[in-house]
Amino acid sequence: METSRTSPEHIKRIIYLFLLGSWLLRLYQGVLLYQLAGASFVSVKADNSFWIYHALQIPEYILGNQFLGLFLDLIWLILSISGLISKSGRKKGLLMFAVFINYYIIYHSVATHHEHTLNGILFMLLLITISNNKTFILCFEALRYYVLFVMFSAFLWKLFRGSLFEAGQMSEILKHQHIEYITSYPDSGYSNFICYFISKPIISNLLWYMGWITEMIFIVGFFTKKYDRWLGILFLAFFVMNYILMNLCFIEFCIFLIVFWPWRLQYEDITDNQLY
Amino acid sequence: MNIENTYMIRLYRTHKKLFAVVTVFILFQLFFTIKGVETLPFFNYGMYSTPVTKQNTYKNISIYNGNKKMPYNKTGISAYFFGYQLKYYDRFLLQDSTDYVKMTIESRFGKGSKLTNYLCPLLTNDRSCIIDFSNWLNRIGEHKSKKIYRENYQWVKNTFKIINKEQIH
Repeated sequence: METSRTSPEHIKRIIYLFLLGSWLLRLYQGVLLYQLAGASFVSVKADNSFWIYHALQIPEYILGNQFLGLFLDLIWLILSISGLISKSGRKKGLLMFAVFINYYIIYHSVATHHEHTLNGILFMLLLITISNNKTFILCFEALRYYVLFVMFSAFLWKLFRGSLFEAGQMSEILKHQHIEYITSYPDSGYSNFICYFISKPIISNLLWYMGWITEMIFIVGFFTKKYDRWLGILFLAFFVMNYILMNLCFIEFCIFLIVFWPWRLQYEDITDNQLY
Repeated sequence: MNIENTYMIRLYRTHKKLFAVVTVFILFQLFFTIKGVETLPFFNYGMYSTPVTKQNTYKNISIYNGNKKMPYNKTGISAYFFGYQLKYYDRFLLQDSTDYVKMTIESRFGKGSKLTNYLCPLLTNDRSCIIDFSNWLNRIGEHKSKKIYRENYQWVKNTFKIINKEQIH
């Protein structure tokens, strides 16, 4: 059965939708640039790119000027809405990319912890800066391999660092992860739920191994695209479980899910059986 | 598997510039993975991969608004973000108000070198940040009088039991 081709514009719209969602989430969380103004500590860690940006004093200038922060936040909002309702141009994409990178560096510096929740949007943003159809499709495919690398390398890290062989690994992780919540709300249902897993290291480690096996399975994607739908489901399930057990919200990271969707992208000099 | 149809071969045949970009990216990613450090956009996804052994005590940094404990998720700001700030403050005090990034700069460019002396004030926190931290804290929650405690807990009978606490702010 012949189905209609997917236009890169469809995918770009999804990326802009995630950008809008991310903006709203971060407004709610109180971590947009204008809300971060006046924050005290920054940590650039060992990241060379952060070092260069901070050496140029750009983050300090923005953090010291709440109106500039608000202005940049509004540009993010306006570009997201604009990208959703109108054709996404290359200039718009490049401006969005610059605004987002700026936010990415400043947020993680001020958080003093360089987490990975925004990495999904960061990498997918490359696509909205591409106007050439062929480059877009090849980059989209490269991003699919990157997502496979993300998941499979997480498996390898656990294997080579030895956390897999620690008997009470998950139980101990849960203690560190939830100590603040459990001591603040000792009688809540969620605290009881987590305490149950902490007190049953064998059961919690089973969940740990399930997560590890899930990450391992992604190696399949390097050899075939036949199981991409299943990989997509596993990807989603992994981060839903992450949210339930670890209370880590990776909804922005889940933009990576779209690389497993069976889009019908095509450029002129590629045959049907090579369709991505 | 048909080698001719692998992504990198197809990329080389159809888009040489992109092939070069992807190859350089892979090489840099490999380099930073082996080095074990992250530099945007080369990330290492090794979260929770370090073995975590059972401990006698577990540390928590708590904040009290007046005499009432203020859970992180009641601060009006992301609980994780708030927690990171408190933990960083605690660590900063434990290191005698020295930013550990200073050690990284010194190890890369040499102690007392011109570049180290130039970069340190731009990239690290100093004692003045403690005052900024107090001001920032005052903006959160209803009351200005906030106390921060470094608390130690033990895991006893399926719950955390407090052992001791020390006021650090």
